[in-house]
Amino acid sequence: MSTLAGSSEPQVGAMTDGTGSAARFLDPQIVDADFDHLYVLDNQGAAVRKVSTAGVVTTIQALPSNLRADQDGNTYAYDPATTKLKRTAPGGTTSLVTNLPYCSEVTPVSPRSCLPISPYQLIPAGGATYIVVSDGYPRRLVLPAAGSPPVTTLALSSPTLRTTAGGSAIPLSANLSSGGPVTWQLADGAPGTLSATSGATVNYIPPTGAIVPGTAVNIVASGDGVRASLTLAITAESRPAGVFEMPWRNSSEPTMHRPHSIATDIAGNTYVLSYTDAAPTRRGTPHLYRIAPDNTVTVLIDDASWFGIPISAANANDQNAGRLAWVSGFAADKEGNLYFAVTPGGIGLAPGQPSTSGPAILKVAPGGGMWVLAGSTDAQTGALTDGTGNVARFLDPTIVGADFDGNIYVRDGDGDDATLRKVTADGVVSTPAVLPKGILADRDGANYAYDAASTRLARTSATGVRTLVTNVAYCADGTPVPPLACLGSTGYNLMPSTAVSYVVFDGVSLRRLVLAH
Amino acid sequence: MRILFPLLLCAVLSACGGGGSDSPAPAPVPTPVPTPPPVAATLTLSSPTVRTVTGGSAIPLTATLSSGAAVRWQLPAGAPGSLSADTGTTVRYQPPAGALAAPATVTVTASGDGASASLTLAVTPVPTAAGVFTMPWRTTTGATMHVPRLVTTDFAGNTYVVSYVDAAPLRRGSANLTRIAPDNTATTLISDETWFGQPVPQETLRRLDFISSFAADRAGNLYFVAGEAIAPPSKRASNTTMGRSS
Repeated sequence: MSTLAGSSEPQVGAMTDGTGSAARFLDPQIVDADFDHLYVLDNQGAAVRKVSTAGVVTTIQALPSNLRADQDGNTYAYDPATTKLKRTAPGGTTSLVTNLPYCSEVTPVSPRSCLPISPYQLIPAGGATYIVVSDGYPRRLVLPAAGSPPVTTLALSSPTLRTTAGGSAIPLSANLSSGGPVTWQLADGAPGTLSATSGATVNYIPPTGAIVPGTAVNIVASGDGVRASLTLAITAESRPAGVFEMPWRNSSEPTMHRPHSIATDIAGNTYVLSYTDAAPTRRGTPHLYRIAPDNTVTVLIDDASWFGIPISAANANDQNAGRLAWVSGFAADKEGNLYFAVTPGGIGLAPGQPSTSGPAILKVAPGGGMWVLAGSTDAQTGALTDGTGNVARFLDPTIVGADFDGNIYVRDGDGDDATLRKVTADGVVSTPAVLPKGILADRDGANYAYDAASTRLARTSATGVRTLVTNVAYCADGTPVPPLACLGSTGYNLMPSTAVSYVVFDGVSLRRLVLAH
Repeated sequence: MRILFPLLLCAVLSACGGGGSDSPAPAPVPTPVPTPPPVAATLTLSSPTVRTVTGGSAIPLTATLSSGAAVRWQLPAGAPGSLSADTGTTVRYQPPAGALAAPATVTVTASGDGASASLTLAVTPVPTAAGVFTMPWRTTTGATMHVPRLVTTDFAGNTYVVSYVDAAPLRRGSANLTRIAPDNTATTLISDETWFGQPVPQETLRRLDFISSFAADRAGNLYFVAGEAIAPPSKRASNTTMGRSS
């Protein structure tokens, strides 16, 4: 490293043009650069200095206007009035760039694949690519190609995805980026009705009569040439409110196993993945069970069979079982497919870390066929990359939930640094801003979680009001004994089963929590 | 003319007499008019942008030659892309339509009436998709207490991130520098253990303790502003410099 211009020797403060150590700066800040010069604001922005890569310093009138332009000469800046990105064309005409994802929260916990809605810095990175720097963190912005038609987006949301026959209406909201009118439609033959066929918000009213449990209701919204759909589920719960012990395996199953993770599906089935209860690095191949709403247990994977097919080296199902040795969460879709997040050796990658294998999302069809849906199990360098199929990269994925449109939601990384990822049924990986509220909600849009401070169950309503749940049975003893008709005092996770029930999993046992209904 | 005009007025008055003397006035001695020194023509170039992509729209380049003479334009041999014309006040640089093996800079040179100027443009491949994408900003160097502080880019689409320990500004540790390639591959350039792949020169590393901004050039050099701001006039010791790390 050498000094290009200015001097670190004792000196009298001055702004002096010159070459190398003959030049003097007061308070230089590099604010721009072309490929041969640096542009510096000096004296608290009062002067513009140009420094060649040979160290020649001159004072110029103004910063060149073209250094931050895209390939068409447009320049961009955050517009505080609208919180959108503002484009200024070479002729001075300004417009807002509306066809980009904007964050819904002012201060995202960690960088998201959306533009902040608070001030940020834009650094040109070639053509129409800019680095957006918000609170020091970079993210890459690729503007739509010049001349491309504006991209109109339509996003649907609802506080819950589950209801019951005769249940309360579910509000549905549409966010059409163009601001145009939105038209709503129920799929042909779908049960229930919509409160209106147009508008930014409508209500879905479930049918009142008997209906097959686990019926999917597909609702389509459209406007300005784009369409989006949202699938709701009408579920049924035959049990009264209370806490009920659930089996997670047949009584004949090996006792060395213990449940590792669970998933639920639209029909009220619960899936349990278990491993040998041994040191984490010595665990054997997994077992997978499906527990029906009536508690009937079906073995899907064990040491001898793989979805009803004997495991052998000939059919490679021994390898498939081995691929599930390090699962970090799984999910089921309404077609009966299962999705597993796997990491090599159970250890995630760090950005830039070379590895002979990598994290991936595996898909298993109801018949047992398995393939990599997204990410890659091949050698790679750790990265968090959006894309389709094996182009995408994960670091340390854990599946946290699924909707009924075939999308899997993944928390990628550790703790507060984790990034939410979305994986579609086609393997398209993106980085959404937030987890859809309805994924884990009951029919009223409320979400539930164990509260460590009170050792009670906490309920957060659709409007964000948090209360402790008092109308359930809590175990009196620290180590409850069967039949486990109460909620324990140690931590647990809850996975929605029906619109009014959850499967409670504490790492050892399963309970079914049925809410008042 | 401002110099010449007073001299001519004096000569006319003398030729008219009016001195009050009968002796003939001496013949005026012509004062030689100084020949102005030759003025070199100046040439400046401008364009609305310095960046484009393969297959992108043409970039208009404008030359302002002070003498008004013709301007000739030239691309270096082998440079990607083409110019719409060899002469003229304004020409257009057309980037290559096909794939580019790597990001490139193109130096366009204009000349006329003895003057010459050049303008460097950058051509990068077209990104695969529009949108907003998360980026890593560090590798697995164990520097989990660091937070990113400064960001810059180079013409090839690399992003450079300077991070410090997330502590009070005056108690922060030494800088880490990470380069993130367009494919999000992160490489540690400077950390507590390495300095561009070499052992850390501690004295040099400390010069980056309080950098306030930085930039990259096309040759891969990095430029840092280091030191405290000083106010004129001041005799306090200062170390406001621009360092280059190459």
